[in-house]
Amino acid sequence: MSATMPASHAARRRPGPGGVLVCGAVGSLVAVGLGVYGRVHEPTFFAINLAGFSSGLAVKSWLATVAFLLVLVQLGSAMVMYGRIRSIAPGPWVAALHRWSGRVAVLVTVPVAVHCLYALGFQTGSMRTLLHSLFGCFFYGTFVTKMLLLQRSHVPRWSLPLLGGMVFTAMTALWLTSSVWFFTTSGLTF
Amino acid sequence: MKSYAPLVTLAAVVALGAGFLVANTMSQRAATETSTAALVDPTAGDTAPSTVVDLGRLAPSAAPEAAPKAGSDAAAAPAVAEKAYAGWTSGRELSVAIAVKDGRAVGYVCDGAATEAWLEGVLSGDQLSLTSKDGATTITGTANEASSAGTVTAGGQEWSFEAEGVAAPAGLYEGRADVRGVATRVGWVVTGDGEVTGVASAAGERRPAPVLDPARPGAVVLDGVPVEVTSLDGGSAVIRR
Repeated sequence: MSATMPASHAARRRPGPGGVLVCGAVGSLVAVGLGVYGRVHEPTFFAINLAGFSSGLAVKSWLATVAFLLVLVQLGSAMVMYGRIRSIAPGPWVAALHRWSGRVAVLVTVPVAVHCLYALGFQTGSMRTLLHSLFGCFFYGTFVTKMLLLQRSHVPRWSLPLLGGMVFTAMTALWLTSSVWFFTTSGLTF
Repeated sequence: MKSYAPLVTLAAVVALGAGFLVANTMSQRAATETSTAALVDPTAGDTAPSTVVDLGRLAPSAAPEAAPKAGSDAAAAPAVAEKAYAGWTSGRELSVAIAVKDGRAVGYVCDGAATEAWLEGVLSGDQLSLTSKDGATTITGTANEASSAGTVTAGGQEWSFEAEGVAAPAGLYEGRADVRGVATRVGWVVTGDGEVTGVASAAGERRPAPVLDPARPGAVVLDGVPVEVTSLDGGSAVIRR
């Protein structure tokens, strides 16, 4: 036992990047798959409209804004969990906040993403739509990778912050290239 | 200690996405059915709305008279390497544009109001054969350097058509726009006389296209939104799955 323990301890302390690569591969497939679907199918669909909103685009813009605000909560709670904000003591509530804000955030993005993919597709017409299309695919790829990583027992310490940062970056870029664009061109409408 | 909560989150996202996708597909199907019921109005006749632009004032690009290949061996070798044709059915019910390139053919027919179809097919020898995605609209005919002629079949009806070979800026144009979250596609036929006919399609609904000036394709606006206009040739993909 004593002979094998150190080895297994070492393996436990320093898990190799293999698991990350596998999860990353699955996430990459998801991202590429979404892009291919958005590119090859014929986009024609009405915006699903919710009562009280002027248009489907307004709905999407506000949903994306909600998601972006929750993603800011994600960033803050993650920094508390990793002890980067000294003034707030990490506790179980921080983890719960991080989990639930993340769950709500990603679920809120789903109707938006389905509309984007189904009704509009992967577009390359302008820099904004190209970046938005790329980040949209990238976002769900990194999200899938992060969920798969979380589900594994041993992953390198750098992997979750890295993936979290990627998800945060993608969501911010998506929000800037959609909601901010909509609100600045169409006004702050509901 | 494996945690399955992330997998549950993942599954919830997939399930929600699938639910929205199914809902979208079903409402799309319902919308398409109601609109195809009103397809091809034979009374459209010469009321087909089209605009005329003066192509003469446009810098005439050197007519790319693609020399017919010395087609000696294979009978299936296309009679015309690359050409665009534009014209009308005999009673001006539908305007027709066909572009061929290296044996591949794309086509567009529309009445300028509420009927249109995109087609893809082949030019084998001088024989043209094109079909729309749903198979309801077909073009069969012949094509040579000067003109193309044949039959358009749509919604169970047949029209004979004649289309002359044209050089840019006449030909076949496609426009795409995102009108407040609704993807809109426009097709235009520009004949050698400068007659522009087109239909805009979005969410299964069709309406007359905005005015296209082939001299300024970037200036097309639909409901206040700029339309991205491209000139199509026989190699373009017009039917997506």
